[in-house]
Amino acid sequence: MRSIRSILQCSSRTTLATVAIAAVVASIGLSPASILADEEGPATRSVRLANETIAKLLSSTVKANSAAEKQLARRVTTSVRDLLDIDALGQHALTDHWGTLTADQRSEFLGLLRGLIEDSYVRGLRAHINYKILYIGETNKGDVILVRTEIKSRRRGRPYTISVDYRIRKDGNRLRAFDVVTDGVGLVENYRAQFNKIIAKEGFDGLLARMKRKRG
Amino acid sequence: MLRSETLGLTWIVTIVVMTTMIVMMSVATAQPSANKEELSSANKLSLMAAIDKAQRGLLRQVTRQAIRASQAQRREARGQRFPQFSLRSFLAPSPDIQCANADCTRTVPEDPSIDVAGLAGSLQLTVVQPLYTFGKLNAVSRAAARVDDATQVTAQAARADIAVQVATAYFAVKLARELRWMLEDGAERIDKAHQNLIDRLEKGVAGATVQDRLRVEVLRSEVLVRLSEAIEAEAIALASFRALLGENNADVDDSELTLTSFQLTASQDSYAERAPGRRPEVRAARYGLDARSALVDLERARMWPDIAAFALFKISGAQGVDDPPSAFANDPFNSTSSAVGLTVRWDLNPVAQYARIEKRAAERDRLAALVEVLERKTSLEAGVAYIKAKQAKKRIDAASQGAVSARGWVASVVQADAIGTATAKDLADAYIAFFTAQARKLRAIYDWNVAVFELKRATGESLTQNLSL
Repeated sequence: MRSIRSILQCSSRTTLATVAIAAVVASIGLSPASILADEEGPATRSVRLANETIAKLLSSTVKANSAAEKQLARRVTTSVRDLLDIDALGQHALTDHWGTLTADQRSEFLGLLRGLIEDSYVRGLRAHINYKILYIGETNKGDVILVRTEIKSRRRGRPYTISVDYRIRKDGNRLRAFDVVTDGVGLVENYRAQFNKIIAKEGFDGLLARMKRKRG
Repeated sequence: MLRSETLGLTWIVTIVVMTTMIVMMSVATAQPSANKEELSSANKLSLMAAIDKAQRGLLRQVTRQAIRASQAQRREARGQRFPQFSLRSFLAPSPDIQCANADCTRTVPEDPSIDVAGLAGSLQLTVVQPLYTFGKLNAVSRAAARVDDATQVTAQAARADIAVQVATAYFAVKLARELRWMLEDGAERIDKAHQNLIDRLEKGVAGATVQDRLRVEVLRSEVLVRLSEAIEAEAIALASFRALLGENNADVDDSELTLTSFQLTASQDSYAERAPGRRPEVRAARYGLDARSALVDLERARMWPDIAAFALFKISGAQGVDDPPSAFANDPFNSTSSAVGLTVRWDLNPVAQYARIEKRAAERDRLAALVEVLERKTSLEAGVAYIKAKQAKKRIDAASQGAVSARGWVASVVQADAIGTATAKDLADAYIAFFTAQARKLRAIYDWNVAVFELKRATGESLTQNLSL
């Protein structure tokens, strides 16, 4: 796990276009301000509490390379993993090849994916953008609960809104998101297409190589 | 680190994309960004407030005086029906003329002399009341009334024109500013990416090349050129806005450039058909045609006499002149007379008068043909305005969908970039599409908003009713 400090240093350069940042943030769903719909369902509550917890943690000031920083990093990671079931996300995204992979390959893939998404998550949060999350509501579709939110922010005084939906499923006694849909684009669908394309051209090892390069 | 390199490359591609996007963009207008002090003291107005202010400006004074003149002309025509008074009098030195005999058949002196004896004076009062003019008075009144009606309707047209011009300038300012902000945002990101690239080149980080730096610099210059054009367009639009309002510190309000809520409720033919009946120009022309017809009637009526009742009273006296004792003596110095009766005045030159009638009739028929041309023109204008509005609406629908998809595209690429499966070109393509789609959407909104006002103007409808911004 990379240090919070390095993440923060990288995050200071994370100045992608407003939509990009919002998209990254949307995959995380944290916000210093939340606006609730009239009746909050259990899945919505889970998402909101996780977002608020992580946002609060990241707003803490800690000394670089200190033990406090390392502990903060662990707490952030734990909170992120409580919300996002990245293992499930990864398995869904690699569903067309999952059965052909060995246990080690699966483990390596999920480890890389988890690290990348969590880093991207935290980096987006640290972009110092003032935004609010509006929790619109949730709907049940079989065993999947769809939590709909909107991120409202401003850039150069102009408002913009990004829709972020969480697909939630029960994981034991917890409700966790196995997919995040940003402006109509879901991580599972997107990554599945990406992985299939890369694997077809470069093989599974090629996919891992790309992820390792990104991870650093 | 590789992640930094990727970010740097991502930024380079972003810049390339944005520059290409900027080249593809056609900025509608640009404005000179006022300094902060100027902006803070600006009088920011909503569209309706701006229209109201412009309509109450100098134009109102011009149209008001024109209406005043036409209404006075109308009253003048009506006044012809009332009694007309004429009073003549004089006061002068009285000559000295005495009767030489009792019957005053001879006077002393017999010839005029310069002897003065007192004063002489005369007063004549004449009252004429037109009784029947064979239609002349009606024709004059009708012509004056139609001219007055035309003047008032023409004023409505002028007000409507002002409203459309103000709306066009208002939306142009907003469009220019939205585009300027997009370009400024892009320029800021390019600058950061450029600096990042320079830093990486200095440190010898792999993945950064001199070609990348030069490409970024070219793109940066293109962004700055387009930004300058946007600022210029914004300045022109704001200057127009201020000129229309007659206020040097007027500005548009801070609301976003949003869609004007309006429904195209009828077909193109329907709008074209009803336009002539509602357009103030056509109504003014029809009033003018009626006035011309009245003038033809006036010339025809001049073939006939005027019948009037009159009353006349005259008194004159001279101190130095004897008054002959005879009612038949024609004594201009001393007399009293009165009369009441009917009078007929008939000035007739048949050949010339028929020619005048023909001339007036030709002028009327010419105007009738022009009115028909004007009606067709207004139908055409309404049809064209409808087409523009309809297609602008379609462009909005298409551009909005494109903008949504472009945002999704960017989101998908950023997601892929987060795990290392996206390339710099992927990001570049997505951002180009996003900014292009946003610019097209903004331009489509501007086109629609202006088209709505032009359609209402072209069909003679109220510019503020059934409209929400």
